[in-house]
Amino acid sequence: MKSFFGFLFGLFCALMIVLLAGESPLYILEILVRSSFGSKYDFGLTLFYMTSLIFTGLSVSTAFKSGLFNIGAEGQLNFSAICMVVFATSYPGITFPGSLLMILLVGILSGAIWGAIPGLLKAYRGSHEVIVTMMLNFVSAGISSYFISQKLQNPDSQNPESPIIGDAFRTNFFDFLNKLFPESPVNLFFVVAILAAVAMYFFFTKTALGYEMIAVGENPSAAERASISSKKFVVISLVLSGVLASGAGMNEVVGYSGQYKIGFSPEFGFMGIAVALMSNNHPLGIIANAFIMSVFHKGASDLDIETETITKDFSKIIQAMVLFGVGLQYYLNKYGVTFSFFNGFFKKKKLNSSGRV
Amino acid sequence: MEINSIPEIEFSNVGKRFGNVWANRDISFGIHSNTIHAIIGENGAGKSTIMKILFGIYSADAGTIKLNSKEVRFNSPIDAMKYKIGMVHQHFMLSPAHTALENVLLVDPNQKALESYFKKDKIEKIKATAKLYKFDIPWDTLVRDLGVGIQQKIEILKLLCLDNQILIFDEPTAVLTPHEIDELLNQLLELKKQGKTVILITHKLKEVKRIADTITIFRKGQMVGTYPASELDEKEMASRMVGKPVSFEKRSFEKFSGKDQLLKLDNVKFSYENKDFHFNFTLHRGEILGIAGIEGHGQEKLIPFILNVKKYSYTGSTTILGKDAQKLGPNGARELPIGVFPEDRLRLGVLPELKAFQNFILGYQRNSKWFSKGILDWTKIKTLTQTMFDKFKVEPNNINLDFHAFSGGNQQKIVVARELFHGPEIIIAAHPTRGVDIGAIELIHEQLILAQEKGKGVLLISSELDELLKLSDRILVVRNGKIMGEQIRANFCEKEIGRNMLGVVT
Amino acid sequence: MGEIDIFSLSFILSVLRVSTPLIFAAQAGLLSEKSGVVQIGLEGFMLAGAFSGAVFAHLTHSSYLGFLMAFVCGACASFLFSLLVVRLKTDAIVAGTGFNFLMVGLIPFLTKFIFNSTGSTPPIPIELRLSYEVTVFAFAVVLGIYFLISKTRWGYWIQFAGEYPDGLTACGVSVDKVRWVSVFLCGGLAALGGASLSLFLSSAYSPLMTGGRGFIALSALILGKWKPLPTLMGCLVFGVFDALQIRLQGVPINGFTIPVQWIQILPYVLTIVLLAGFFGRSQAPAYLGKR
Repeated sequence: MKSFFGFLFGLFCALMIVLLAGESPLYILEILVRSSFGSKYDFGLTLFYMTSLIFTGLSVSTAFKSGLFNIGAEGQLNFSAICMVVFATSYPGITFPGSLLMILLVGILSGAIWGAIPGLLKAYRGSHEVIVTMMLNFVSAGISSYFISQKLQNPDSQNPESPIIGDAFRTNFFDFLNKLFPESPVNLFFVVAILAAVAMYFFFTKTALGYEMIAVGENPSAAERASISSKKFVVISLVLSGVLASGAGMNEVVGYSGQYKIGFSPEFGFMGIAVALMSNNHPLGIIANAFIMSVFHKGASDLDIETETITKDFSKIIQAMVLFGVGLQYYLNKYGVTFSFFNGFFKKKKLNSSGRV
Repeated sequence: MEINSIPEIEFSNVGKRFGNVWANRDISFGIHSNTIHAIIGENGAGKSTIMKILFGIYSADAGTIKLNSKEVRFNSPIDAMKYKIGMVHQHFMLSPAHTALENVLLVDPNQKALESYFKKDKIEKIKATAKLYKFDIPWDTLVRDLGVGIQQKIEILKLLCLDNQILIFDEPTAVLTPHEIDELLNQLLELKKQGKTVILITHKLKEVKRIADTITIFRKGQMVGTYPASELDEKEMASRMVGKPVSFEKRSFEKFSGKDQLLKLDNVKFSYENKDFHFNFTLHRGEILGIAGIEGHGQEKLIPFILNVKKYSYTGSTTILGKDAQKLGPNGARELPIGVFPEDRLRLGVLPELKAFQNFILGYQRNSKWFSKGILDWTKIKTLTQTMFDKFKVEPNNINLDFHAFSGGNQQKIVVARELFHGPEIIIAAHPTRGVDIGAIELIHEQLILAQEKGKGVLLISSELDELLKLSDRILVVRNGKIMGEQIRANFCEKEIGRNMLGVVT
Repeated sequence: MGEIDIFSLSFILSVLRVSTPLIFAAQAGLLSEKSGVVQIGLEGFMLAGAFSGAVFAHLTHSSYLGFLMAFVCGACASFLFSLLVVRLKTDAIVAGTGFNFLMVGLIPFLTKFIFNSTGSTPPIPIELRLSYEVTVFAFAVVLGIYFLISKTRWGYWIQFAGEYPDGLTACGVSVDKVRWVSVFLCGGLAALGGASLSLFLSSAYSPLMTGGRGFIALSALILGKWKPLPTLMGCLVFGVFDALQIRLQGVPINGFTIPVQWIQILPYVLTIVLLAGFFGRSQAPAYLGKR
């Protein structure tokens, strides 16, 4: 709730930009709402985005909790997605349910590896995690591009995408959630994402391991004195972060399309940063803010069609403004001047009526 | 001594409030030009606050300040500097990554942005000023490689280069050895001779008596009064500071019988970050063992060493509570009943942004009192924290507040409460009363003595010689990572300890 | 072609070409970080510069004017960043990430507004394209910054702002003012890096044309230990890999074609390896990112 003011501020700024461009902010809001909730299909698509954003939001916030900035969620979800597809196409003969378990394991492991690399380098070589995770984003993009263009190009398609993996590796045929939203991509992993958020909430508030991880983030030197190894937790938290990000890859590959499409993620990893910051890293807040973000994301694609001047990148502007707003909110909270605009107003009045103090 | 009738600086009814607490209230006094004016009071009496208001770090919530009869209001130190006011802070304002000369060159009253930094005439002028005030400074050494005494001289030189008229010194002797203190006091007299006004914030009465012309006494945020230094003797100053007659009584010690050893470092030698350490001492049951030394001479290094012996490669042997330290588990001495008041509370002891009760388990988070099967029992933790808050009279008595919201004294009380909660056999107390108000100091000293009377052992590391002399049964003096001397209570000699701190062995 | 002669003039020239945007951006980042402001927003500044450079070159039919305007626009954009980070003490990493987002979102908005296109600007005629004078200028900037930082009073203010800001305040110099100016120059210089992409390496702005160069520049800065000349060397190393990657596309070596993607990811892998400490621990300014 602390960050809500920042969020409103960001939204307000973004709508002001809309006004500058000659569109009516109310009309924009109307399109956003219609686009996200207009039909079962639309709503299902919104929830599909939301699923990925919960995963990446949790990923980024878990790293934040232990004092690390993971801008590599994008690379982690990407890497796990391509690994799962490569695995499923390499061993098409595995049967259900082993197939499903194996592909999920591959997804989790690959996410973990992509998180462990910056974790280990940070802990033992002192490399800055921001740079390493950013570089790994490029590397995983390169790797998937290599597989799609050189090894796994779908013969039936002109688009850069892999063939569709076997049904045994997918959840479609028993997916009850998907049946509620015909044609739309929302799937079982939505439930998994919610469960993951609840689990992370439990982890950070109830377990000693979670407490120790927060301690490392708050004050690594004091944690070290309390015989909590900050190196160990840097690795654990980034591995956990990578695993959570891989959920977004599963949502796409296992839950929905069954293939790797270049550009399937509209930078979910980066949107996760905004989600995590808006929620002040609170796992349950992430559910709410992932929803808000997915509404914007879903709506922005329709803005492109329905207005003259707004492009689908508009959601980026909203994200930027929200980040600025949330960043400012931290400042305001820290110096104890929340809503200082209003306070200042009242203070002045008081001074005038009672003279000098 | 001749004093002009109009003071150079005049405070009238100045007040400063933090939250609901008045740090200063109704402060009115004057400081005359070309004098040494001491501001004395106990820790937390508000003496630093009033000077920070004068220097523009804080702004006053009430009252006015006049400078040469003109009302002034400073919003930042930059404003104060325009009026030729300078301050030597407790923490030096020097960049450790630059040389002494580069640090001094930074000050310049008429700065031009794009001129060369190393102008010859400026360097010469600085060196001439240093000569005038008899400062001997190694110009091309990085500040991080210099001792605090020299760093302080660089600080003072910076103010002199700015041609400041009023110089404020905030507890300048806290970090110095007796010999360096001597030197500094002479330099302050020299400054007065050159026509400067010197304001000295301190709680060390001996120094005040030696050099001050006038004295203002603070108690609990308010002013007791301003007196010519000649009117008060040390005893009188002390009783006015505390508000009741003070007797310099010596504590009588009841010696514990037997030679029960709690902690023994037998000829331990190790290296860390290119520095060599050599410790050889024993802490007995029922003993407060004081460790004296200039800060940064390795005495604090004892704490991480004792807690984590296995991470060091060393010769000799370490025995903690009868166990060879090498045979301890992966958490080292943390598994044994040892309580530690860390040398730097906020940096090493707590999670400032978390709530008080969350801090109460730091270091003991896997204690079976509240931990089982991976899960923490917060209800129980809160109850236990509350009982300790009541016992130690922590103010405000609210375990849900963020740790950093407590005052220094109450923060330290929380740390002490946490460390004593588990009934440690050994207590390592490093600078236990640094930045702590008088009430908390008394409480912490009481607790240490109580622990001693119960037969625990206390290792007291402190740079406050008075504290060591008051509490310790024995004092070891550490210099350059080695023990330079040992004294027992019967023949404590302050001068001798001071000489040992400087490396003179007799 | 077979073997690639990395000592040929044409190869060296192509290294210099592709290094140029990095050199500007890395020196820009150096100014900002030396003064204690973490600079994640280089990518955004470069995008702003690439776009505004292309737009003004198109409108005025002069690449030089476009290049100049890129500096002005980048520097102006830095005001928003400084307002947030220097004045209002927002976390610089948060603000920098937001700043990158903002540029990614705002530019398509503007192209649609100005050119009614989907993101690219109209190309300038080939003869208007800038040439190696940009690279020469980039090297001059490096020298200039070297002298600024290590010889002048302003340079020392920047150093102290990053190493011990309280010390600077205690000498009557406003830390915020020093940081404002550093970030201002940083914005302008990084924008020049972007403009050299759209006016020197190509002849128009295309969406997301910086392709992570802002982050590569940041890595070069860290490899160069926040010193101007070693940072330049870092940029040239990345330039070599980039040029190599262009050369090796589709070229068989001993009958084996190295997949282009492998070479593309090489600089990133290299950054990780170099950062892992083979160059020794980096010495960041002590107060970088602290408030």
